[in-house]
Amino acid sequence: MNIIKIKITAFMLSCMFFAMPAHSRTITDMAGRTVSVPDKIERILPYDSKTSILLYPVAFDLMAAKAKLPGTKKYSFIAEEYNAMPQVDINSTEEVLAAAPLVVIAGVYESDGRFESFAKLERLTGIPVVVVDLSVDKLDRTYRFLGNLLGRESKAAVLIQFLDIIYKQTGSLIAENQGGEKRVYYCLGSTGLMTDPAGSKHTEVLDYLQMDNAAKIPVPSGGHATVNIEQILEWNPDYILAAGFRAERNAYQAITSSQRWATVNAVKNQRVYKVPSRPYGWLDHPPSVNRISGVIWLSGIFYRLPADIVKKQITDFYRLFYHYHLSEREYKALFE
Amino acid sequence: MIQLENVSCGYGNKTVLSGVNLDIHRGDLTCLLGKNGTGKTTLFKSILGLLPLINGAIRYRDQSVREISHRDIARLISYVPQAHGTPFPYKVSDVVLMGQHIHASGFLGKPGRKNRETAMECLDTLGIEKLADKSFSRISGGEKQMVLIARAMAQEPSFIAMDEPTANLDMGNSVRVMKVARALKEKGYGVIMNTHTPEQALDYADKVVLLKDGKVFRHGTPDEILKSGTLTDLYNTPVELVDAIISNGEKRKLLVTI
Amino acid sequence: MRNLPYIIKFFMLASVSLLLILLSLMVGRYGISFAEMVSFFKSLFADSVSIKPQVSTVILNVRLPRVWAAFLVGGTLSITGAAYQGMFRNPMVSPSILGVSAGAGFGAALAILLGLNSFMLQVSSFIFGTGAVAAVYAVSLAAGKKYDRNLTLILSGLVVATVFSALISILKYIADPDDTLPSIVYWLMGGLSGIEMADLRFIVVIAAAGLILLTMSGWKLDMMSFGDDEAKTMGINVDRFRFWVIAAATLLTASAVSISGIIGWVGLLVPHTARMLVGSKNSVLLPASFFTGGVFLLIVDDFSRTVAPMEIPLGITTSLIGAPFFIFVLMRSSKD
Repeated sequence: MNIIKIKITAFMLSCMFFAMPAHSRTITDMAGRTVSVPDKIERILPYDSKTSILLYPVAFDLMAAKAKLPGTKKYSFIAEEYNAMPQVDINSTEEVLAAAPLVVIAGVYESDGRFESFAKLERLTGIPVVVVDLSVDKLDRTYRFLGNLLGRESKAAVLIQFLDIIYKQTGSLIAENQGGEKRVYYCLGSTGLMTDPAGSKHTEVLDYLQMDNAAKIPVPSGGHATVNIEQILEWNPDYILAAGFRAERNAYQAITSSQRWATVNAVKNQRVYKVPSRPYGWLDHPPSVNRISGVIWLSGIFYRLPADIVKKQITDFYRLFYHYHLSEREYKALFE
Repeated sequence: MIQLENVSCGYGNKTVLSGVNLDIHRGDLTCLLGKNGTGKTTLFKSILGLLPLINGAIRYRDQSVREISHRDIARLISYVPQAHGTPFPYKVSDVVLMGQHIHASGFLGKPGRKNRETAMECLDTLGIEKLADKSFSRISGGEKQMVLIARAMAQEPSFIAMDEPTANLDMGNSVRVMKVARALKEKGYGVIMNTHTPEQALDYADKVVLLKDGKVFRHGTPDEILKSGTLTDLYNTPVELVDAIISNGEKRKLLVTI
Repeated sequence: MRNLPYIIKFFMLASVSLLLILLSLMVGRYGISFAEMVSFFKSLFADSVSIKPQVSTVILNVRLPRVWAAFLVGGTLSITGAAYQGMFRNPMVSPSILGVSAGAGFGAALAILLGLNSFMLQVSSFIFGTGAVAAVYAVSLAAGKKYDRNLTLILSGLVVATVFSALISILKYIADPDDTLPSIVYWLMGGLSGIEMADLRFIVVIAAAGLILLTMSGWKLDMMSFGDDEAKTMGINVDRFRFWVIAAATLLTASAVSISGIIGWVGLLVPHTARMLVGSKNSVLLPASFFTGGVFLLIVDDFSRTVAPMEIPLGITTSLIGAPFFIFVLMRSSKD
């Protein structure tokens, strides 16, 4: 009996070793996990959609696929090659194996610390999972790590340079503009009553810009909370940022035209803004490198970064990160 | 008079009874007798218009019952079901008032004051006016049967069909219900009832119809029909009828099983 | 209480309703002092009294539509629940027994997924809600007259509702979890947070018509609860009457659900409460259910919108209150 068990275990172990490439090195990923990866990583798979966007600018040629997102249509304002990439559902072990990546890369927040699903994927497929950090203010470090891991140091250097400019600029803007009106209400969906409250990972951009998320309520497990209009009147935010769900109407129209909202400070002072959403949301959806465009845009709104600089930096961002050249007209179209 | 001409009836395509020829007269108490499952209830439902006829015709004053609406059938013949409960507790007076539905005189087909008076009269006639304000679900089985009879009377029909009116009643209540049935017939209603108790037919019926094997086995007056032999045949168990003289000198027939 | 004349009972119910509507206007997340409240009511009659614009916005544009909506939706669901309980001779039947909620839920989820506006969402959920019941009715006709009609209706209702629930699950599955999924989930839990006066135009008319028509046919419903055969022999065209009750009840429920989302239990519980107050006679029970249901949902909604900064979906609150109440009713009825 025991001999059979040992044989089976030995067989399973050998299967795992066969799946692993012969030349491997041991690294520590950004979550402090020790992972054994091949010397040369020629084929990678992003764990989810936020990692897909992160990896695309630095390692498009290595990506076996992008993450499958239900209900996803074609993305605009991003290079066609990205749309053309096949999709893999990470929950389908067979699809993952068929894509045959040498490494799966998973972007997370430092705070997450829950890696069981990664360990499970490693157990099921024998493919190592490397965890990288997605915090909006530490993306330079993330790209440095990815550059080293994947042997894409020069590509990463360009992105890091751009990010450093933005981080420095943001730091000095915040330092110069202490005080003032800080309360921001961030809403989702078509009614403007769904929000990601303070402390939610979906509103990290506001925290990074040291603005005050008006919705100070417990964060529900799904991230989104529905509040009622009276509560918003009570909070009386100075700014409203309306993110429409892709398929739904943006709440901007409802907020600016309805009498119910008319007495809110932000509405009175015409500080209601539609959050651009193409190819990805500027503040969230998903929370990845796409949020850098939100940082630039909001620096213009909150800290009066001149419009021509905003435009230049956004255009640069799209060129570097989405491999897309924004025309004058397209730049305007982003805000409509 | 209700005439059944060569009636075949049953459920869907399944014929339960066939070739039934019967006349049911006002002022008569007609009893249907037969074993379980011989089609007594089926025939009832056909007469009440609840089941479509497979063949033949039921006529009332030369008009086919098939051609008249539920409302008109309701004016012609009313139905006393076996005493039962309702899922909701209605007041007895409201239950009786339901019989007046087809005569409703109030606003938009709702019952009016005249209907309420008629309903109360029916309760009076049966001597159960004291039940009027009680809940139908809380009165006894015998009282329920009386209330249902009152409701049938409130329909002001020519005929009243009673489906085994004494089935779940004790002896005293059975006798009271049968006496009411006799009183109704004497008032001029045509009463037709199902029963499993041949004694009731002996004591109260004017006409007896025996059903057997999907046909009318015999029909006629109790004196003609109810004999030891026919009843033994009908129920497949030995039965004898004996003549007896009861204490007040009246001559009666008694049924004895052997 | 039980032996008071109906007129007095209805006078009491109407007064309680009115009082609660007034009280509900005074509670909410936006703090309005009693003095402000008084001067608001004064300002309705005298132009000279001036008030903060926020106060009038909150009371007239936020609370008033919501209070009305809660009252109408609660009343509508309850009166149809009572009518169905009478017609199906079953005190455990709810307005959604014939699949209207499942159908409406599918219609709404589809509209959210297609990005239709809030009016079209209501239209879509109304159409699918009534369509589901039409399908149930057709299926029950096809089942033939061999079986009890009420039974075939309830069984086909179960089948059609299951199909629509599965369809809703499909839509939820293909909906983007970062995007439309939260809106669908929130809608399915029921709530009145986005309600405006314009949303109520339709339901006001339907609810008023339904209240009058069903109350008038309450008399026949009493007779229906004695069973099809008895009702027929008392001169009711049972099939035609049943069709009209189902049609009216479906219009009522679908119009309520289309603005409120799926709110369970109200239509099941309130008729029992009303029955304790006024007895079983449908011509009295139906209007009593309407008012009791209106008051009930009004209180529940007041709770949902005031107790926490986040909206508590109405479906959750009614179920939490509903379940223990249901047990209470069961225990009570088993004593009878």
